[in-house]
Amino acid sequence: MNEERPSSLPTDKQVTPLDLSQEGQPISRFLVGLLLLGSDQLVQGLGQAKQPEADVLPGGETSGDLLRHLAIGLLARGEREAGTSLRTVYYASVGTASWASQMLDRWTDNGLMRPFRRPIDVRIQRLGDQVAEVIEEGKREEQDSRVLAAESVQSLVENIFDQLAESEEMDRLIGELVAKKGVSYGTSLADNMRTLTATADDTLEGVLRKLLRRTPRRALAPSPVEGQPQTMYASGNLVKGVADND
Amino acid sequence: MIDQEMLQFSFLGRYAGFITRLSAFVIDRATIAFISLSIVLAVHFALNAFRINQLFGFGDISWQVALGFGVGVYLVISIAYDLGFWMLAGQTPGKRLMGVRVLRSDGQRLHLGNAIRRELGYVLSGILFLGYLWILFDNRRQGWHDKLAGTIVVYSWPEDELQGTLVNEQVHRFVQARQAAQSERDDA
Repeated sequence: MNEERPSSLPTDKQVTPLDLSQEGQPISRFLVGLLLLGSDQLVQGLGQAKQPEADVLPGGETSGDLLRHLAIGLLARGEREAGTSLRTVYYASVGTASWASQMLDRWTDNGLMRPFRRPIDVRIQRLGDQVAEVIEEGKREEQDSRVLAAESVQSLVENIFDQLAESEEMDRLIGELVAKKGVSYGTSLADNMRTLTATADDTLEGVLRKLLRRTPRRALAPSPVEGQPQTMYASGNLVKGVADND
Repeated sequence: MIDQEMLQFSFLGRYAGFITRLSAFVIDRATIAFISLSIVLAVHFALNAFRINQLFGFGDISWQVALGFGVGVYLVISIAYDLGFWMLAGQTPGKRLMGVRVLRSDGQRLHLGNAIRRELGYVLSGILFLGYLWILFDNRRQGWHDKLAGTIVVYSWPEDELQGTLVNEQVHRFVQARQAAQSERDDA
């Protein structure tokens, strides 16, 4: 059996370490890394690290390893080459435009050609203005979209809460829950505790004012709901509706 | 002798004071801490019982990571709890128990914006506890978080009799409307 690894397949020793400072491919590299980590951990966890003997190719690699290395290599090379091609096209376009502009300047920057050149300059200027306008519009659109999305989400959430709070079904469900909790002992205990703390609120404030030598407060500012029955779950409209019927 | 019922009604709709609100706050935070602790313990149990940490190569989880996770869970539940209860019912369970309710300054139910500002205001009020102590001296008994959000907290009890009447009325209306719709469908 031939134990020698084919020269086209890299061994682990031949693989050069990744140059993290190199530009490009951060996302695919990260995703590939995540996938590899996950699959390694999964294989280890499941206790399936040992492959069947028949799958092992010359060089100690399995066919699965080869396929994986091939896929990662293709992905990395594809992204790198796509980036290189795009950069080449961009620089070539800029260079060509600059060269053409210089040539045109050289031929047309004279008294004879100036009348012909002016309309072209105006059009070029207009084109440049339009591109700048489009870029500005893009910036505005981006900001507007963000604001619109934020407002939409807020409005959606508000609507959901409004619907829930004013839904009769919700009112009924919560009403049933409240009805079930009615234990007289607990209610009486809670009432006593509330009375105690509410009285303590006033007392504490009075004592503090006296300690700080401030004038005693005659009354709190008027509350918008003073003396009005406060229902926990029914909304203002429902309460008003009931009151009107009565 | 002061009539207990009359005393209760004299509080109705008035601005709630420091001790009542502090009691409600403590009850709520204890409830949230209990829920968070239960979740953290459940996750810890699941990780150990099914050896998920070994499967993903986490190894033994340090107490710092566990503490960080616990704090994260506490914060998330705390925000969801406050915002949800304030907007839906105007009361958290702690406030319900203490008989107080959060409203907008004009007496209406809180909107999302008020609720978020109030939640953020808790952080501001937490600076040396000054924002909470402000309740003791403010004429409308508003803490800094209330000022920021434009909210007030009022006593909302007694409520059982009133609430029973109103809820029953709503249920009655709902049942009537459903019966009417049903009979219309039957006629058609």
